[in-house]
Amino acid sequence: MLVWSGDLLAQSPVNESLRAKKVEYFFQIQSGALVGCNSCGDGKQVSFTSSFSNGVKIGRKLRVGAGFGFDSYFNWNLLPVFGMASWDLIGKKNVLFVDLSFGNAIAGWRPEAIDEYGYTDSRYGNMYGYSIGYRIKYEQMRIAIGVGQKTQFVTSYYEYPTYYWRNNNYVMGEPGRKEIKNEINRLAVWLSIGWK
Amino acid sequence: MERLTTIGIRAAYLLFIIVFSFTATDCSDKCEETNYFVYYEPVYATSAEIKAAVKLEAPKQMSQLGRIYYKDGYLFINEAGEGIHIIDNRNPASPIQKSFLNIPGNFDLAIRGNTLYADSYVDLVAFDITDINAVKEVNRIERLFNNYTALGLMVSSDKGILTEWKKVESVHVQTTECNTIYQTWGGIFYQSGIAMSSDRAAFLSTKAAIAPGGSQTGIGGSMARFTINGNYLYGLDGGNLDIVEVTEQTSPIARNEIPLMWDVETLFPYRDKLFVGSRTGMWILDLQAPAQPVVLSQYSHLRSCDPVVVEDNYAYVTLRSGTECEGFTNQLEVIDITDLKNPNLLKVYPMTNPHGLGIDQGTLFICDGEDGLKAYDAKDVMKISDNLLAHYKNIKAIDVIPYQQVAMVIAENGIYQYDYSDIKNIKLLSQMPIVNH
Repeated sequence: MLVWSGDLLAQSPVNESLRAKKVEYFFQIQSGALVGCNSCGDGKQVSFTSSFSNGVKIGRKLRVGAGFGFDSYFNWNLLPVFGMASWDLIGKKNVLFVDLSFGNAIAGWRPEAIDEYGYTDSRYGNMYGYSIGYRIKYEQMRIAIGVGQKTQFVTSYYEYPTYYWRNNNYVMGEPGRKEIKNEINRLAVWLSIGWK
Repeated sequence: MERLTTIGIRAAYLLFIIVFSFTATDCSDKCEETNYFVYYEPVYATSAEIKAAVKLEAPKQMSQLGRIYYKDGYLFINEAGEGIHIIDNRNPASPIQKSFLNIPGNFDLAIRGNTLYADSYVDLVAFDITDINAVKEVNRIERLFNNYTALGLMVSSDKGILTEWKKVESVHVQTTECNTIYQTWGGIFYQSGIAMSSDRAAFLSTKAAIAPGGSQTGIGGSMARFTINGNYLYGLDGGNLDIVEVTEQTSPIARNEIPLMWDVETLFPYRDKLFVGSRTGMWILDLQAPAQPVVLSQYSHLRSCDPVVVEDNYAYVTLRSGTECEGFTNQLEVIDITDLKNPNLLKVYPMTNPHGLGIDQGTLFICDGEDGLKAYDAKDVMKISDNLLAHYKNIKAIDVIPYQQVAMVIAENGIYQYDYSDIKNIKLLSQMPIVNH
């Protein structure tokens, strides 16, 4: 049985087990930084991440939902959609929690400044992440900070001109092909604000 | 006090998890690179193995024809890279395949008297054809064509004679630093072979790859790389001109090698001059001292493939575009060579995609690619396009030899012969089919 608001239950003589099954809607807007490196010899890179997610809070500790976001990885800007779940570890009003997310980048583009020789296209793949956070309750509002890991897969395709030697000349043939499967790993540090 | 303890435990828990997250998190990228390419490895043979394969065999199906040569009623037609078809053409209306002279690495030929000269990779081989049924090798100049390359590799090297490219398909997977760019361009790897994409490899003709520069179908006419003038054979060897004395027909002697230009393609002798077609122009060489040709002049044109023929005071050059020719021009140029030191462009006629051409007593034949074979009355060089005698659109003509009222035409699907004794009524005499692979 889904109950939209906890107010009804609050006015009823309910026991603890029924309260635990209370389901409430929530949403949150998250923004933060992705820290990591593509070319690690050049030092860490810091890029931007944000998302909007919403779902339901089931009982006192579990939240499940879905969302979409924007993640920048310098070579790619991606729009992932994902499902998420979180579990409150400690606390009642302000809580320590962990969350997991899994999804797929449905669209993306490369910054115009990236001009890589031979690059033709990219296919954006799965993403997953996990993090731990601390959520502060202020009436219906929730503010949280967290830290975790985010992994995104991107496959890039390249074509290079092929030449062969004929009649004292290099003659262009069909291009050679290369694909690179990138597993992009980032430390995610974020702040979120939401309702419930 | 209890509350402070609880807060302390929570703070320690949080701190632990944050520290753990920072240390356990791998925040660097991983990359796996996959390259798809076909690798061609050069295959070498010894000179002895190549020599052992030279022999006269039963006639075989024609498929990829190269040069054609006409001598005393017989057609000698090169099968690219394999040898020479010998055809009894004394009755052009009914040619008969007599035999096949197997010569590995053969792309060109020329005949003087009863001696046929043919290349075999880097060697020049002389055959006695006195008895057409018992053609036999009588002499050989080894490694005459020492500038001969195939796909960028020298055909002759310490490893032997490069005779074939062996196809090796490969997919290469490696874990890389993500910032490292490996370029899989199919460039030439001179020491070990050539890499190219699978798509490209599907169209690579290993036979064509081993052909010397400028090799397409030719005749002892407009597209030949061998030619004989007087007692000397002239052959293109890369960008050089090899000069071989054949006064004693069965004992050819290499006399000289002079550098010309890297893009030379065809030779056409006329009187005591040698006209050399290159992709950027036409060279006129004086052969009064046959072993020491002297460059008289050079006529430049747009970059293009350009066979040349000459009659009287005019040189006829066709320019064509295409992958190998690079240019964008398709035309016939008539050049006044009255002053050999100062050739002068007289007239330009647009064409479709002209290849070989031939001229005999004012009748000009042009193989115009997809547009077929065209015959013109070229007695008035300023009005050639106005005097079209015949146009055969149904054949993709590549080269032609007009000789004694018979035009022998190589086309993609066969060898055609036309009787032009009556230039106003040119008639097809015969057709020999080619099996295209």
